[in-house]
Amino acid sequence: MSAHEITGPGIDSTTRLRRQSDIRFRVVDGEAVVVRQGAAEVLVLNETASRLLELADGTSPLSALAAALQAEFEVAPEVLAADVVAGAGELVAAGLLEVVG
Amino acid sequence: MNGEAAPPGFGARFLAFPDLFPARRAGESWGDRRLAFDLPGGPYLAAGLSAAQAAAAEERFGELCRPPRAGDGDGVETRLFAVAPSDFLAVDTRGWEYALDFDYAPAAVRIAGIRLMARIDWARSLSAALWTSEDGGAAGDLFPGIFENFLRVVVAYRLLEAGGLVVHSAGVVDAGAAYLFLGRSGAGKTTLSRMSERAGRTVLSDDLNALLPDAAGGLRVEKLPFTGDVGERRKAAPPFPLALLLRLEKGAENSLQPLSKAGAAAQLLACAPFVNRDTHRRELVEATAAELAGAARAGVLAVSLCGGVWDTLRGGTP
Repeated sequence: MSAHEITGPGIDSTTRLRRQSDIRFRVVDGEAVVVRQGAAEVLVLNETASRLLELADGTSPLSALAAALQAEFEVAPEVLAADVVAGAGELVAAGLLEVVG
Repeated sequence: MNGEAAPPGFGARFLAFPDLFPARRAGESWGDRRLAFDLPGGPYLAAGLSAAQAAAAEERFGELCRPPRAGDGDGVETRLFAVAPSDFLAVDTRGWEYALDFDYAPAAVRIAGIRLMARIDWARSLSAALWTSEDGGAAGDLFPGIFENFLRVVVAYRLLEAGGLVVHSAGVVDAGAAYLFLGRSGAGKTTLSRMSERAGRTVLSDDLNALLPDAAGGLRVEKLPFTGDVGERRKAAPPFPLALLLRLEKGAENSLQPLSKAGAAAQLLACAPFVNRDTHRRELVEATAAELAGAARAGVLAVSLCGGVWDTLRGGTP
């Protein structure tokens, strides 16, 4: 499966994402504590989602994020690529990331 | 009063002239009475009270309130000032949940509420001022509630300076250690407090408790006289070591599950009133919550209506 064949809700591995401007986050013991200031809401993300949030700089496509995470997680590349797209989709749906292009 | 630019809407619900909010700790004192309050992070020294205000404060806070004495010099200084009733709007509170208005700035916090204006300033140290039209003497006078609301905020900021937090929680003492139950309104904090009290345990407060680091690297819970329906406002209590920090949930049956450090930090952050919305101190608040969470044992406690919560707590280690 190529990176381009992997798709999530409205995004695929070429999508570039960045953090929403109203969120703040801090990694505590591997998990992210995320504050959505606009909604006055606090969330906790697991380790993978936390890394995605850290890496989403608005310039790198999801395929590059998956490549960066490959060294950190013992998962087959195609599985990780699919997980990254799916996880990114969830973060977008949760209002933590936004699509740049 | 000196004019100071107000953010859109700040104080508009409560103040007749929001733009004339006091710009510094100055004004006409109510009187020459001074009191000290022995609350966590204190003492808190209040000056400029009238005789009736002092009596009302003594009645509200009991043995936590005393005359100032030598050695109180490092305490948090607050001053009270008189303003006219016409400075405040009449507020119809029927069917309305009261919340203070805040305006956060780098070196000050301004607060507006029902017949109160207050500010906390940081110069060399934290100091505060309260302007009110209530003299504490008449039946139905709002001064005790106004002064307590003011103190709640001052204590929250003072504890933040000390590396601690005021935590929206139920605090219950069992076997010499304190359990803090955190949860949204309706999660069962007051119900659990009542059940615990009926079973002979001491409830510190079912509303706000102080969580602070101790010298040994652990955490301690200190009683605050800010209660909802359960808890004694007027009596002092020693600090208690924190046994468990618990996120409270309703469940079909009682259960205790571990809560990660991040989960505990998120709970503390969500349950740290007043300071957790301060845009100028959010880094400090978040760091404090993370630091406290790192030193706490934490869990998620699901509570059913069938009782037996304390058996669950003693039976499982998160």
